Amino acid sequence: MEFDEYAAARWPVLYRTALLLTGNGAEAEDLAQATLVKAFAGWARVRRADSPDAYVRRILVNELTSDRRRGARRAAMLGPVALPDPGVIPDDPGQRLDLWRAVLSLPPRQRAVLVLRFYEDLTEVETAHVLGVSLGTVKSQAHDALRTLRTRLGQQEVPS
Amino acid sequence: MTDQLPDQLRGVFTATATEADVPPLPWAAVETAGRRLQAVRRRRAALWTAAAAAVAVVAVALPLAAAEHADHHAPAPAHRTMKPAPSASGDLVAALPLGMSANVAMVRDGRLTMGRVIAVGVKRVAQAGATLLVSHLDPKTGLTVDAVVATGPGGRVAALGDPGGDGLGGPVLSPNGTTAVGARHDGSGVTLTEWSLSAGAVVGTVHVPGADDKTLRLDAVDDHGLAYVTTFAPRAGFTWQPGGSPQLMTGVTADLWSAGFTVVGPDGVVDPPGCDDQPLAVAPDGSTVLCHGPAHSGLVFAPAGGTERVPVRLPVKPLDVVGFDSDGSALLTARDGESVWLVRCTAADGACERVSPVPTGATFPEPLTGAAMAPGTPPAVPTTAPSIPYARDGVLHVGRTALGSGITGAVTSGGTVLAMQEGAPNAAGGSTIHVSLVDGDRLLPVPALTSVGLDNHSDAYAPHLSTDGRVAVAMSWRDGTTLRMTAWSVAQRRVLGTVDLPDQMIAAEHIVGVQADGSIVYGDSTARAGFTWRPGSKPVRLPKQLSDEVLKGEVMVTPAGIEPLPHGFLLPSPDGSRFLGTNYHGTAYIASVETGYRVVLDLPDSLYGVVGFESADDVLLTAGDAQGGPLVRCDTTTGACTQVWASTAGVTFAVTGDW
Repeated sequence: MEFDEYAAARWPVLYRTALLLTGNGAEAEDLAQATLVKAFAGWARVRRADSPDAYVRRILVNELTSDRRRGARRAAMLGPVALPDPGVIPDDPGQRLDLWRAVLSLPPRQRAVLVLRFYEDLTEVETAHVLGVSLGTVKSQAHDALRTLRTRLGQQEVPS
Repeated sequence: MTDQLPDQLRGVFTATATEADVPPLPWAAVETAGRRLQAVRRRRAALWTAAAAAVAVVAVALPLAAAEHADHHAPAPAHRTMKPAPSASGDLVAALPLGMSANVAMVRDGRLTMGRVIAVGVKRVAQAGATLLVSHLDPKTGLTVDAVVATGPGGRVAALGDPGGDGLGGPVLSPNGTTAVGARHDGSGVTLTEWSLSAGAVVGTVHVPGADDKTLRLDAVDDHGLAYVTTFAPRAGFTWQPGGSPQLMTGVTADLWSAGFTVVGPDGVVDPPGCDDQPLAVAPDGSTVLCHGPAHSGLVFAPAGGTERVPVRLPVKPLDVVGFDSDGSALLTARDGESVWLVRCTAADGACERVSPVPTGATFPEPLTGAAMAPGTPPAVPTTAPSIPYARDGVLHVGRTALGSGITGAVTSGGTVLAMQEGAPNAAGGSTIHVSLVDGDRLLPVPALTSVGLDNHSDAYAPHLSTDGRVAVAMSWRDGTTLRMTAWSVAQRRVLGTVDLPDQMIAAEHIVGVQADGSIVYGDSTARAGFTWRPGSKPVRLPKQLSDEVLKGEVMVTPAGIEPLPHGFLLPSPDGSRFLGTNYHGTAYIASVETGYRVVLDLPDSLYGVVGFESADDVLLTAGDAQGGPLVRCDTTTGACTQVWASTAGVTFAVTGDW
């Protein structure tokens, strides 16, 4: 597959995943675009990978991490303190809005775990591979994230 | 009972993602940036730095060359009299001893010269030392459109924009020639604008609502950038400095101000000279004024604050007052028969000597008549300006000093300030980040820390400083394939060491911080690996994976080393005694490390951003719901907050500490 075909096919997916990871349309577009730029530059390596989608997904998540790191420094200079931007979803007075706000308040890696697990429907092993972390880390990140969400939503924790 | 949360998450994610409008694929941008990145990685990158330097040279040289070009192509003067023609009045001036030449600018036929041609089409000039503030005409429109500053022979030329001053006084120059202030009436009031002449950029503006040329006059600006303004309704004097609000001056009477007695002492109080009329010129150090003696009996030197008067001993009536030369003597013009001479008279005894004939039609810059501050001691003018360095409109402000231009960011720690200027876009789609050390009132370029960015995240290549400010570390793509980390000694101003990092497509390495022993910790967010590097030796991999806090940069650097910030906190105070925390609802609080006691900050609006700790006692934040909102200073003990600035638009604060 040539890169242009791949990019055209994957762009909507990348953008939507980026939107869930960033919570902001403009940042999502930047993130998805930066991901494709790096995939273009390394296309020979990407296309040879066992799963080009997984490779590109990993670029996306790493771009997010490094961009958040930069963003943290920007915040200290003058910027938002990672306050959630609920403007990307329709005005929903119910649980959905509360849950989305709570998701956006999670640390980026915890949010990434949830998005990969419950939007991309990756297994824990696949999620660990994308994030470049151990399986145990994915489990603990997911556990911490869900616990935080339950606390913020006032839900009872369900024994596993 | 089943856990519904995962399903709820799937629903929220799916709904949010599918309801979003997917923008079109920016194919052209992806392809262009991707090819650039490829090219860089293949070591075919262009010489970006050299190109940027060439552009800078052209930008500086072009106006000068244009002026020189105009000089060569302008018609030659009809004649140039080097010796005055014989005078029927007896060569009174020509009989004076010949003194040394003066460092004074001259305008003739619209051509400004000071040893060489500085500018053409000149309409108005003010001079302070070697600095000239020039209003010149646009040859196309015939209007005065901007001002040019020339610093010394062969010095730089910087366009400042329209300096204003239509009937409001000004533009005025500081005695040391580093600052200019203009005033402009815009219908709703008067706006004062201050320029840093070393930076060639605006450093601040303030609007005086309701004022006009009948009620306000811009008098002067001192060497510290403090502007002096008179208002006539009501009669008062106020001072203003960028970063602060106008301050009513004490010790100023309306009569003194209206008479133009605007010599101001180091204490900020008007110091009326022994003149009976408005000063005609003020020495750059404020020590002496040239004015008319009683009943216009002749020119006298009057020491500021004294009653002594030294008559100017010139055998003829002077034509005009040019101003004070750098040695404290006054420069005048005097007619002798058909000739006009430039003469110099000393303040000590009033004795005069001739300097040179003045070409027919030549004029001189306006003399300095406003306030002149004795250099060295700033007045005790109350200011609320933040003590954290910041860049406003590209000019860096460190305390009361404004310097540089095109500054995009800064880092400060332990008293060291590093400024960053973003260069021209390079072939990789990023920018070269030039790093300079703030050394007093100048910027010292640090080529070793200059970074070539591979993407448009310039702050990713910003240097880090150790907590004591003695070691700076920066990463840079040196040749498009090698990510290099460089450690630089601030005190010794030399490279301590470099280390090349593995080439990675994802470029995941980043600096975590500099430890107390001078070793640098950096991480690889892909491998979650941490390394410690002591300049001069090889990096050592840390035995443990890095935590999320460290990977996200949420760390503090303490004398003990680099530690993750406690959960929920954003920033430690400089002394480590307390933390600034923020929460989900846009509130902020200070927590004591020792007692755990929390003080909620009484912000006037919701929290927008954290600027940093000025000290353990004060923290700066921005409020509101958008960037550019008010700057607020909060007391970390009581939680009380006061507004510092109404707006932070165009302001970028230095990153404080190394975290």
